[in-house]
Amino acid sequence: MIVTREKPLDEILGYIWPFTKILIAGCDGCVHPPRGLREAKTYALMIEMAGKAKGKQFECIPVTVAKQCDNNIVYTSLQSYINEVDAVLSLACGVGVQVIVEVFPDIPVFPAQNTVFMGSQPKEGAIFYEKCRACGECLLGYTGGICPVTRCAKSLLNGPCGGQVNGKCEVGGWVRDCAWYLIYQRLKKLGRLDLFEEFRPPRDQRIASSPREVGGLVR
Amino acid sequence: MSGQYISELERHLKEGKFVYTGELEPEKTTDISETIEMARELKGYVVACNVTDNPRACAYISSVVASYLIQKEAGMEVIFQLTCRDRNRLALTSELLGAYALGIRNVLALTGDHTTLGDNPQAKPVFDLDSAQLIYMIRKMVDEKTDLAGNPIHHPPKFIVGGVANPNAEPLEAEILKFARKVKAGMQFCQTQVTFDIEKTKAFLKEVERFEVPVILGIFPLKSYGIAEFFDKNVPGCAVPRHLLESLREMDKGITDKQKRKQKIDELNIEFFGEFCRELRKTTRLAGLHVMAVGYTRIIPPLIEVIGR
Amino acid sequence: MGEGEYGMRVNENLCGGCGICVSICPYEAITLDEEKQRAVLDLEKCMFCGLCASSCPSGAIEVAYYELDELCDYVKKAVDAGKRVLAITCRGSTPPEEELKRMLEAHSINADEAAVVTVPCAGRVRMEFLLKSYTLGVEKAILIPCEADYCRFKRGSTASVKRVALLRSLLATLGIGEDWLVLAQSARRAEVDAYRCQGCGRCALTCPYEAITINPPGIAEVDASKCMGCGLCLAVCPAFAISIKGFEYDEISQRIRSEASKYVSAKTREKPAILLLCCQWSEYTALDEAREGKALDNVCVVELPCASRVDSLHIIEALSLGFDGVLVVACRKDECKFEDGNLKAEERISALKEFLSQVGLADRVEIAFVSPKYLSEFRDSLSKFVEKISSLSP
Repeated sequence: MIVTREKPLDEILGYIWPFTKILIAGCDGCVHPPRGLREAKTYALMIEMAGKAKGKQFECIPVTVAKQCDNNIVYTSLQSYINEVDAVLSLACGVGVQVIVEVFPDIPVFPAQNTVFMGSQPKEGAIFYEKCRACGECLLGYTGGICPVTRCAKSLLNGPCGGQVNGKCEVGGWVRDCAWYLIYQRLKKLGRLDLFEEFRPPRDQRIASSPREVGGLVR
Repeated sequence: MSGQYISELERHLKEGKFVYTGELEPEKTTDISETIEMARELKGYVVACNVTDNPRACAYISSVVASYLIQKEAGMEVIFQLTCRDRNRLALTSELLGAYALGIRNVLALTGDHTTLGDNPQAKPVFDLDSAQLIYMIRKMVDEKTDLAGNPIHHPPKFIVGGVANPNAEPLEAEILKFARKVKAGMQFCQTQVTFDIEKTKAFLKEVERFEVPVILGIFPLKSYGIAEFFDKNVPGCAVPRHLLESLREMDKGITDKQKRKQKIDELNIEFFGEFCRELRKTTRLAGLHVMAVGYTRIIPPLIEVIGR
Repeated sequence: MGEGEYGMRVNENLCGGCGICVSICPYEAITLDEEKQRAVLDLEKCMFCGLCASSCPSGAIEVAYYELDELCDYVKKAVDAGKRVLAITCRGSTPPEEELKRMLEAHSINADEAAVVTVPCAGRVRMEFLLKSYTLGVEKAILIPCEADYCRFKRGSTASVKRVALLRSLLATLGIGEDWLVLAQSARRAEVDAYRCQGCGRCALTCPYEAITINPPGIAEVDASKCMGCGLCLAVCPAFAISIKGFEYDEISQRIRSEASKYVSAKTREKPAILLLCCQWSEYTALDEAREGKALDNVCVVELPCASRVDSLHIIEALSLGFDGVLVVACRKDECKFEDGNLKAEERISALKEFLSQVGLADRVEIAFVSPKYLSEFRDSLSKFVEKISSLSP
């Protein structure tokens, strides 16, 4: 899922300060933690309270969109509100913000989140871990299903480096698992250390260079 | 230099002579006369000196410039260290071409410590290549006379390319497989991380024997108790033996006469490393020693004397 | 009773040392002093279900709440008022009014004629009370404990079911007819609104009972046999797609809204308006009074099945409506009837406080951990909170 972190309320207020009627658009898609109707309502109240404290009367309309990254869904979900409001605050990832801009080019749209990475949250805790960097050239088949591009601090293809001790990574103070140590353990378990021993030549970094485009599914 | 060999280091390694290398660390300065002085002191004892490239991710004077000055001013052959942290493949290529033009012949390819551990932790780390890929690229420049993308190089360089390994690494098996990868990439010699553990070192050297790549083992003579303790605490996975630490502590406390204390500490180092290295030379195909004695150069001559050439 | 701070004690003069309480206590909180032949109560282990008191043959275990006399008084008044059917429900599973009405009707009981007594566990009701109710003129009684696996006190509903069977045969022997007493069971479990559910899986991730799965194409499903009704999932659902009867987001939200006008507009500057979000197991008296419409002094009380049901959005709503402070009341640290619901509530409140600090309202929300077995604990926490809120500038 796409993991986001909320921006400080003051930053959000800074964006919307010149406006009065704000559409707070949640997203029920892949953004995590979920920023659906509950979050939209939460932000609506918080903004109104914060505005009041600073002498400004905001009027917020909380709504949610099934998927803010879909132009069609955004259009059908928001078009009835768009003429009623002065600005839109999107609770989605950076994609959602830009799709709203694309669909409704005449209205200011602001982000309420910082989009951080693609990751997951294990059952045990509330921490999200980055799992994929969309490098465009998936290596998981060679690395036992553990991504070194994302999970190694140096994105090494031929790790581990000297910064690994007892399976932990030097970066961040020996707390994080060394991805290459995990890869070694996993490939050993699978009886595929031949894959570990293979030399991986330098990547073609063009594949991961932004902006990127990909054709749609035509099959 | 020396006939068919492109560097003294290569000649020594190829002719099977036991090799000593030293280490020089240029700092955040524009004047490296102190480093050059140190290089002069080591002359005659070591075949070549490693010149570090922004070690611990700290921004220092350019490694290639320092290397050039050291070779020119002190007449000390260098092993030019090059990390992947600060340069993409373009910068690495041009750095190497420049280095060759300035007379540098030995290169040690490193991945490099992460930027977050250094003195500019806000920096963007590059790591376009890793150390194995850098070795591969250098060999391509030398052997195929092209850059990584295959563009021909006019007047291609000739380098001896080294890589690093860690005899202390756990699990050892992963380290050996990594070694194998670097050999596949074209590693011609290996310098290791510092070690104090004779059994681990023996096991490591035995395992890598089959690759027939000369291994130069890193040792770290301990100038004082303070340094030993710092090393012990701050270099994880590489413990200083307890008895060494204890003896150093006793000397640090017990001997008030400075001269006498120095002498005793030197004796301790010579005894420990003398025995350590002689044993390794007897039982393994160790190619040489990399003596990391920055600020402790006086130990090198007597140490070489007991270990032998 | 009423003296001292503990809500329960063994009257040594009455205790005969029979050991029934020792064997019935689900928490091993009672031991027998071999020498004195008296039951000894370990208040740290006691979860205050009252099963011991209701099964003691000599009435030696005295509990500060729901005393026999008090209950009989209530029944007497009800009978006098023409309510001749007694319905005893358990706090954890008592359905909202409409639902209860339907339930009674299913047993041919007219809800208007029923006097409802809600106790923290049906297991704490003494058989004696039922018999006395008969003598007081009750024409029919219905006992509605929780479904067995839903019981907050492990053995409360099982004990109730057995007692009803016993009492019914006694009633038959006495010629009263066993139909005087009937048994029904209830549980309030989470339900998913498939239309609203977005399939994000947050409920499944947080459910302490692993009662929720996400089925294709991405709709949550609650396994009723596993759900204990703590309501944690309601608090985390981003789409308000899960409900438990009586504790739905909308229900509580509307309640806060409608009460807000009363409390907030009525407030004078000396008395802050307080919203109390209270776990139904951490406090008895105040919640019972709230059920009966008796309000604490400018304190709006909302009952929750567990503190982990506490909804950050309800708190934000309350503050935006003008409440001066919100106190979440949870069970003491080791006394959660669920899986550390009190600690989860604490976590949520501390995160909320951090969020609210952005608008300067962090100090207006607190969580208190109390137990009904320490008689003054709830009131002390409340007055401390009121004091704190009063000291803040409005």
